[in-house]
Amino acid sequence: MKKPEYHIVFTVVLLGVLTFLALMGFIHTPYDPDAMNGLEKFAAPDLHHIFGTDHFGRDVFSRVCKGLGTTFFVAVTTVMIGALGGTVIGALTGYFGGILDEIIMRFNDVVASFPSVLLAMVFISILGPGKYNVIFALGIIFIPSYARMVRSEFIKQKNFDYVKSAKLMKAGSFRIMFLHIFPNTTSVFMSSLAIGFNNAVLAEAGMSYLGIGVQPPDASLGRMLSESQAYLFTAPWFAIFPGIVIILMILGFSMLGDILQQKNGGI
Amino acid sequence: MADTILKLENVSVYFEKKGWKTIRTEAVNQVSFQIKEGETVGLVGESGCGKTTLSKAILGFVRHGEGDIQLKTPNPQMIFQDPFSSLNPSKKIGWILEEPLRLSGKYTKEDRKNKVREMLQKIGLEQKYAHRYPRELSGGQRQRVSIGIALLSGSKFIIADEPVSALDVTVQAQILKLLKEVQKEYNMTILFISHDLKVVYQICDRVMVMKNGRIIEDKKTEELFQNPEHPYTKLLLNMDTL
Repeated sequence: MKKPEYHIVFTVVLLGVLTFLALMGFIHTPYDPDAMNGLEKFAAPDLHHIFGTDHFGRDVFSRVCKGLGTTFFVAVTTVMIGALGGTVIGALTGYFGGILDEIIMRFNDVVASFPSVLLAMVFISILGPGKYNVIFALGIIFIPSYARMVRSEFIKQKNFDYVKSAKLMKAGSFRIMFLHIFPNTTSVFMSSLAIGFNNAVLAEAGMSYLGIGVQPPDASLGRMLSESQAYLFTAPWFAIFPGIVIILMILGFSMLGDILQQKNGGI
Repeated sequence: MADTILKLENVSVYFEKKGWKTIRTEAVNQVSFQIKEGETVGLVGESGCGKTTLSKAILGFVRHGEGDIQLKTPNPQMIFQDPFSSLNPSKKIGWILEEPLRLSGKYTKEDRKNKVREMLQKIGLEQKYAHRYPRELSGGQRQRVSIGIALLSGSKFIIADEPVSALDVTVQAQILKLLKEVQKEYNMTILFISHDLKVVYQICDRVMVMKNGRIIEDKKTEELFQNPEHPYTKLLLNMDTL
């Protein structure tokens, strides 16, 4: 009898519920997430507003759903830009090495040595705030870490005999890089995708909290936290629910990363 | 008379460690030999004597400092010592065997599948192994796959770098038998690198003994075993019979 893997079930359920909430944010929410209602400011959670309402009388549950979608979208696209750029740079520098590797990796070091939020602020101050600029800035900032990770994997893999064997078959460099070597980096790659996703969620939340991220009236989880801090004692639900959803999202993706690493690491 | 397939003239390979004073290690030193088509030639010597470096130089993985290497066959192949790193861990055996056919670009998908099927049979593996990953195969089975890759890439010249030293004795015998069969059937030329004289005696027509980067003796197998000239060869033979 195979032992049931409860952590997988838990992860799937957790991510399923979050996906459902995010989809609700896109399709239908119980209240208009942006509709203000002066009569119901700071309503405590009850059957009408299960997460309560905020300082404009907006339904927190509806806003969490919508903000979850925004945060998720920002995080996924950010990670995609970072992973794609990082993979290409890391594969090329790791596989070919030489002077190009030195130059690009030193440039990488420069980017990586800035605190990421500071660098994001520089980008935003040039580009102006907004969802897509946040994605662009964070995506660029994420490239070095992926490049470094992919590069070190490629350096390790390129000396294995199977690569020599492929060279003897006269496979081209790009074929060797992306068809032969790349699949062997997926276990490391997948788990770093999950970690990167979490970092992106936190970075987006952090930037929105500082006011340089997603702009009102767009809802995002970080933005909601930032708006709620003035009312932390009068309306704690306004801060607690978005916070819990961020925690659950990060927990879910961390566990997903662990599972992927376990499943792929069995070589 | 058979054609010469590989000709080395005064080949040297250096490794240089650059610093304020360049340190130069001579891994291979003024080596000359020829291998004719269809020959199985053994290259023996202790570890660190330059056997593997020489094979890498022949295949172009390391640059040789001096001399001339003429390889008159288009696609040499190599069978590696460590059967656990010579096959791509993320691909199935069928995919690995199909790769040289895909790269040649001459075959349709149907042809390739058929050829892989035939090859599995030839190298003594059941068809189900096409759908397995290298990690699910034993060391001996992996070396069979390596031989299969060499055959499917249409190679006429194989460098076998200690192909059986990682295997236990019974499996060694099976792999050597397969190599011999394959050699006969395809008139394959094999450069067989080993430190184990017993293995070399079983499979090779000719043996070269290497020490400190030089080839010190080059004779027909029988002759070498009965009548070794160089003291080092005698030492090797004595150690082995003990």
